[in-house]
Amino acid sequence: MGSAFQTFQNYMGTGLVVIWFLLAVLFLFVVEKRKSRRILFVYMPVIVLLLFFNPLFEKFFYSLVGKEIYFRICWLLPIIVVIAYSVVVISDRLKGRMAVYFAAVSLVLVVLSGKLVYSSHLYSRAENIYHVPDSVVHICDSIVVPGREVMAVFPKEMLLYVRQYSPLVCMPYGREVLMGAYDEFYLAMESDTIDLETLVSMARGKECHFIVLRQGQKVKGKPEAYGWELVLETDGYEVYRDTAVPLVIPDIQVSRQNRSMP
Amino acid sequence: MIVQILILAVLLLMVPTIVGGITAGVDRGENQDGTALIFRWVSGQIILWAGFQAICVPMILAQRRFRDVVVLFSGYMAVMVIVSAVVGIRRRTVGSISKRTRYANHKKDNIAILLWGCVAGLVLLQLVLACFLSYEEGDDAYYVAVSTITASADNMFQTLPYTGATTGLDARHGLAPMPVWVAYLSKISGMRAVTVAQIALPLVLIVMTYGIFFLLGRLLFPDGRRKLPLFLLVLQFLVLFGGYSTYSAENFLLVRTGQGKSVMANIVIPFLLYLLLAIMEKLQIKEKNSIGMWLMIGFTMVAGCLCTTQGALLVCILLGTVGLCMTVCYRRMRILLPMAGCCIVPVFFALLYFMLR
Repeated sequence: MGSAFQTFQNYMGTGLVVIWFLLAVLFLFVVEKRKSRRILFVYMPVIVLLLFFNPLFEKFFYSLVGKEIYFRICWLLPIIVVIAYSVVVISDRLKGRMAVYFAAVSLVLVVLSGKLVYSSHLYSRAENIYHVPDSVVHICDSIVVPGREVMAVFPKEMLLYVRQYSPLVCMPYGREVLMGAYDEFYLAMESDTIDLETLVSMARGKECHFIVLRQGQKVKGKPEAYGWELVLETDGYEVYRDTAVPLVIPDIQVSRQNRSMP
Repeated sequence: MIVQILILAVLLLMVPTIVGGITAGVDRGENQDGTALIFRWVSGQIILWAGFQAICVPMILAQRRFRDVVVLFSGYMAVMVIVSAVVGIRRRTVGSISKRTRYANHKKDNIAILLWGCVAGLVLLQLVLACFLSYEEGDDAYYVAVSTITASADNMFQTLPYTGATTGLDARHGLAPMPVWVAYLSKISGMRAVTVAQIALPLVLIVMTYGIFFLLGRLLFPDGRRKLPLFLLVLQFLVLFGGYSTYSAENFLLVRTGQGKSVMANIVIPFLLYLLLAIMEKLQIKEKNSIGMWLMIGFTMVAGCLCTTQGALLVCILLGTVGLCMTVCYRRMRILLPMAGCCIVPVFFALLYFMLR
């Protein structure tokens, strides 16, 4: 039971919008006479909430599809529709200037109760039509070899984007490391001072053709000494080609592969 | 680029609107008053999604190539367009073309105009921001990568999206192949899957969501010249300020627009609510609901399965809850029969999910 409350609390966030919803449901329970609207805006949400907080249902749902997505049951609550409908019904009952004032106050309350989605720090200006950083586009375009996949290791800020942009650039690890999965290679790449002795053996173990490092990254050892060739410097990154890992370009498949790329 | 945009416009706007002709007018009969086109567009897209689910899942489980899905779904789309044309011609010959009823009073209402202006302005703002702002969304690294891989590698759910390594069939995710539909759009239009997912789909799906809210509002306030725009304006404010929680449907609409989960929360569920409300409004005035209406509910339920693997469970809970309330409130046991029929396919997908997980 406690877990459902925790999930609901997370879903509520700051909580005020859900409180307006519950008040709106109560209001409609009192004033709404039409059966159809009572069913959709009062009875159904109440039953869904009862189900949501029912420990048996919770247990049943967890066993079927897991705990992490239990919050999706809340999507069945027509929260914004019920609030908007109630605002219109109330302002219609008030008439005249009072109706306008009420509608205006409601909008202000929505602004104060919620949080502008676009204010999230995760939003940024799109750099291109792919909505991935320009650095990813430039690096991927420069290392892609027609007709085959290449293996490349990237700094963590690029991991989310590389495979969205190019299916031909493979990585030894991906988003799973950002979600907490343990990976020694990742830890070696993200250490304050990269020890090339360690990194080179790991990169070769995974057959990485390319290694992308941040410019100015502290590195112990000289890349050239390990057979790494600097092939590109762009957008604050250095791209090295490990000459010890063979990269055969298949002539026959080139034209066919090019055609299949969207 | 222009050709790619035009192809996408055909696939996402024109074809669904034509296909929607199959069930045109089943929601409100002759009282269309300007909602007919929106209903056609949304219901057409739902029919296409349901078909995609029915075609794609067996192909994924049989480990067939993506190009087979492309051929079969294109065929399905062509058949639906022809069926719609035939249905349209038949309707015209029997003379049951929808009559449009408009507001009786056409006096200029400045407040209503102002409200409509605000609604249109805010939709436009959201569309512009969907194009020019990008969001660091972790799940895109999975879904968009699956679309990108599918469009280029010709296999479905057999490559690890995060790294590109080959793997066995990921049957669990394969039961909700929304990313494959994105790959289909990419393949046909020639536009990169990442652009389709990050720009083209948000533009279309945000408008579709508000279109469904418009349909709902029209049903709730058939007489209100100011009520409808006010309803939509409050809804938009609630969406824009829905960042109070990362789990809210509103947040999903603006942040993860192209993902199946968002389509589930902001298109499938609201459209199902609309259809159920339309059915109940007819029951209220003791009018008979057409088979087309129940068919549309069935299609919507199947479309829910395409969006997310838990979609089947969610739509069945919704339909079951509302269905029971309707049975009790209207004292009509017979309603349970078509409702049970609508649940057959989602229950099948749910069982498949439990077998394969």
